[in-house]
Amino acid sequence: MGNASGMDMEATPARLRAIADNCGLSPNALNRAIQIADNRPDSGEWGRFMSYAMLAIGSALALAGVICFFAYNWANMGKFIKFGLVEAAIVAMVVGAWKLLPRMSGKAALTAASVLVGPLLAVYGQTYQTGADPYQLFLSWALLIIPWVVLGMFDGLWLAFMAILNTALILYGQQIAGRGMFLEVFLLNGAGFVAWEAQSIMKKPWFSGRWLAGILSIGAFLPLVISGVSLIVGHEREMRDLVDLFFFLGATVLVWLHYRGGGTDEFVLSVSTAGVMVLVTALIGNAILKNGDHGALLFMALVIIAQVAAAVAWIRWNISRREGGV
Amino acid sequence: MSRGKAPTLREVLGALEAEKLSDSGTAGRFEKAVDELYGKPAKTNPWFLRVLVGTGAWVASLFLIGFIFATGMAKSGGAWAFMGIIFIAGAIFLRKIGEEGGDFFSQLSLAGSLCGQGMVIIGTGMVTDSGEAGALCGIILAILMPWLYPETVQRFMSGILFAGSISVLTSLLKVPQSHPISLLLAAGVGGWMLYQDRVSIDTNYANAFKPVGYGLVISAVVMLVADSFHLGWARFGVLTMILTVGLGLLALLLAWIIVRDMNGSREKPVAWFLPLAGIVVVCAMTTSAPGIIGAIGLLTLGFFRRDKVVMALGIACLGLFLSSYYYNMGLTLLQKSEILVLCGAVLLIARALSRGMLTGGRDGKS
Repeated sequence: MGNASGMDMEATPARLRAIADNCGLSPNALNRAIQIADNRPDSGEWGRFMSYAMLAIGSALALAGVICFFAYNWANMGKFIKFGLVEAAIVAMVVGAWKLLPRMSGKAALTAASVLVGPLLAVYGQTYQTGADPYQLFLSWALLIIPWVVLGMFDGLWLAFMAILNTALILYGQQIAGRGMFLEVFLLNGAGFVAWEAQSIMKKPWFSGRWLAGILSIGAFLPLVISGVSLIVGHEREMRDLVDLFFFLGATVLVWLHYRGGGTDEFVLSVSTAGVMVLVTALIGNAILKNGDHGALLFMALVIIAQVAAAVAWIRWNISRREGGV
Repeated sequence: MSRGKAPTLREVLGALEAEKLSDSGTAGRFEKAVDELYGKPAKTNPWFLRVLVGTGAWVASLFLIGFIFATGMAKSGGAWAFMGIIFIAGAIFLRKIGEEGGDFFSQLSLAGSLCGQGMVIIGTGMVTDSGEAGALCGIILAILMPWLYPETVQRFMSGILFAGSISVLTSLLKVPQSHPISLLLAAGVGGWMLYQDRVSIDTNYANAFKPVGYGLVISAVVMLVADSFHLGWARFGVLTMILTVGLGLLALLLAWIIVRDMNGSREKPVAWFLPLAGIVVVCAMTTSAPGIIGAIGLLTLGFFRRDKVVMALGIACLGLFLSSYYYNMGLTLLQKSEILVLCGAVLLIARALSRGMLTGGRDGKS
């Protein structure tokens, strides 16, 4: 009869209504079932909710006020006070993390300490006029916080670390290389994604939720898709764009081979498939829309519908394989 | 069944049996229905596939409208409206085929439905030479389509269409304060629908509430965000005053429902007066920034309905609107700093004073 996964699902009103339609549950029984499933917060839960909300909002406002105060007086402060303030905040956060880890509050403190390293470097650069490029600040920032990132084992901190590295790379492209760093950003986020997958098969994985892997997969595919579209519709085509496209196709094939038919993550499949759809649409659109033929618009609509239908069918087939254990 | 944790279907069935609302025969049919509906691999698409489908349908429908416009097939407004109706009827028919015929027909029908609605609205506007008639047509379609075309993406789009059409109609009719009226209507009806989703037993209606409610609430949030950029909050005016009072009244209504709910379940109404007093104080302090009370209302509604999407939306809005409010204050950084620290301290002191009452002395972790 009802399998374990089915009967142990959360009893949402929509599910109960669908079940009632299928099993002839009386309106009285359905009404009562929805009341039971409604599961509204009791007074204790409301109290805790308000308590947490006041703590979070109150702390955020007070902290913002302190930041505004120092921002107002910044120009008049001596360099030692400036350094002292930021360093004191970092030390306070690190001590807090030391006491509170591995709890969430400890991880949040370590993340705050890591974030504060950036302002410390900015103060250093401003005070001593080092002449360093902004990308160097971000790169130094990332390098300095590596030990905390590794020790913290916190996906929020890893995300911040990857964001800092991505910024350093993009700024390097703008300021030094004078070009888009599409392939390099792909390689960086792709490496992060592969590392995430590698840790997920360890006996004791560092991270349980897959959201970080999802964001990294978007960060890996998006720059190559942008590069691919500019290759298709742009006027100036360079060898580098072709290399980007080659990497996109290679990564897509790898993802499809790895996750197809019973893998664990249809989100990554969807991201890569959406990338292919964008490129195919750009390719066909670029070829047929230039002629000004009315039929091309109808054809484009059909192309998009067909692609979405094929993508949905393919990804649902993968979900079915995984859930069906085939 | 533990409080705070969502009950499972098994627990609900057990409770019904304990209350003698279900016998062994019904229980067997219940489990069989669960097996048929949820025992097999999921029939519904995960959220990222729904986003993909929705985006694809929108883009495809734009190409379809562009095609009809370019060919000149529909030269008059009447022809546009007629073809739009044909498109909608065809989409409804195709959707029925799509249930068995596969994903292509499903996507084609969704794109056709959206395209058809756009054509009917444009056609009506052209025939009558009146934007008001077009907007009214949009409202009628937004009300009809969730039931004529019962699909999640369509229902979500109907919520957005309703809010947009109301906004355009009231604006064209030069209704005084048309913008805050349409925003408050979208927020109120959307919030009511998200509330009704969990209490109604009528399958046909109730399943439409949530997606339409999301569409309306997100439309209201978009309008508020646009206001905050366009107007630059912290500038006191009639518009912001009406919005603050209106959203404050909606929040008060929500608080009243919550208090009534707690009393109805015969639980001790601990600190019930705090939300009421809090809403009045927040509204009084932020008369020029209605988004703040709106975000608090969203957050509260999300917690009340245990809806993570609405809660996340409320948290994001609160951060955005608070930042916008303080950023746009015509004060020096020092004055802002004093106000921020004062507000934060008031909240933290209020929490410290009421902590025992709020948590019943049980929570020592926070």
